[in-house]
Amino acid sequence: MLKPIPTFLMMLTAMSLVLSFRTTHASEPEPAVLAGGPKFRRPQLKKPGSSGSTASQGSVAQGKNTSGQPYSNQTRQQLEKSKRSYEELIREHEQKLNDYRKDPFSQDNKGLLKDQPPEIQKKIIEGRVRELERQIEKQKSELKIVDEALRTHAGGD
Amino acid sequence: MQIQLLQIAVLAKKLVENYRERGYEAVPIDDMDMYWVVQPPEWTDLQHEPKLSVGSLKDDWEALQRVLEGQMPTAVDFDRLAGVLRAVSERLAR
Repeated sequence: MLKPIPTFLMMLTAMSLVLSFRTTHASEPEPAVLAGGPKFRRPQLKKPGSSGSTASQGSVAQGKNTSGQPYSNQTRQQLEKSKRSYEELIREHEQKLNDYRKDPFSQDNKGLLKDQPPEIQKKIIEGRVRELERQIEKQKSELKIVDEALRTHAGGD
Repeated sequence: MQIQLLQIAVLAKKLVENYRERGYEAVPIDDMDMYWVVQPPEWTDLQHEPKLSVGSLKDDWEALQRVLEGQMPTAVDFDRLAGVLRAVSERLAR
């Protein structure tokens, strides 16, 4: 049963916190999730025609810029931890996909599948498989980025 | 257009705070679960009829709870949060 969302604010605030923490404390261990919420500074938008990437855009600019080199400010230890996390997540998702393929009706939480005509059931099952495959692909793509960062990491820590 | 990640956080905070001020605290979506998704690259290719995938709000929310508990977030969690946000939006406007 899907919970109502009493923690909705907490979720968004926590994601906010993760984003701001990960950009400003990138060399520290993964932050604890707090419900209090950070003080937000309004980031400055990149001015049209300005050169370079995000050098003057507040805390985001001081952290990672995905158009530059993601993970370049992470330690080897952090990268290895990320790699392990991705590998574990990929294993879990592959298991989930296998379980779903074997018995899609076992995950029919609201009975939305069983009450459909066969052709719609087929579309839903194929669509769910496609979605789970896509999630795994995405995680594998991110793992590749982490692997690449590990390969090019300049040693140390 | 360049999306500053921190602005997403700022926007999320702003939206949530505003709706809490209006008196919303929790949004029940118990009756919802599976939803249609158009995956990239098809979702921005308007020349062709897309194949549909199926997301699960229950699955999304459970995975996001694990992020709250300390699991490393991934790009998939942005998709999951997007799904949840759409469900919340639907309920807020109902």
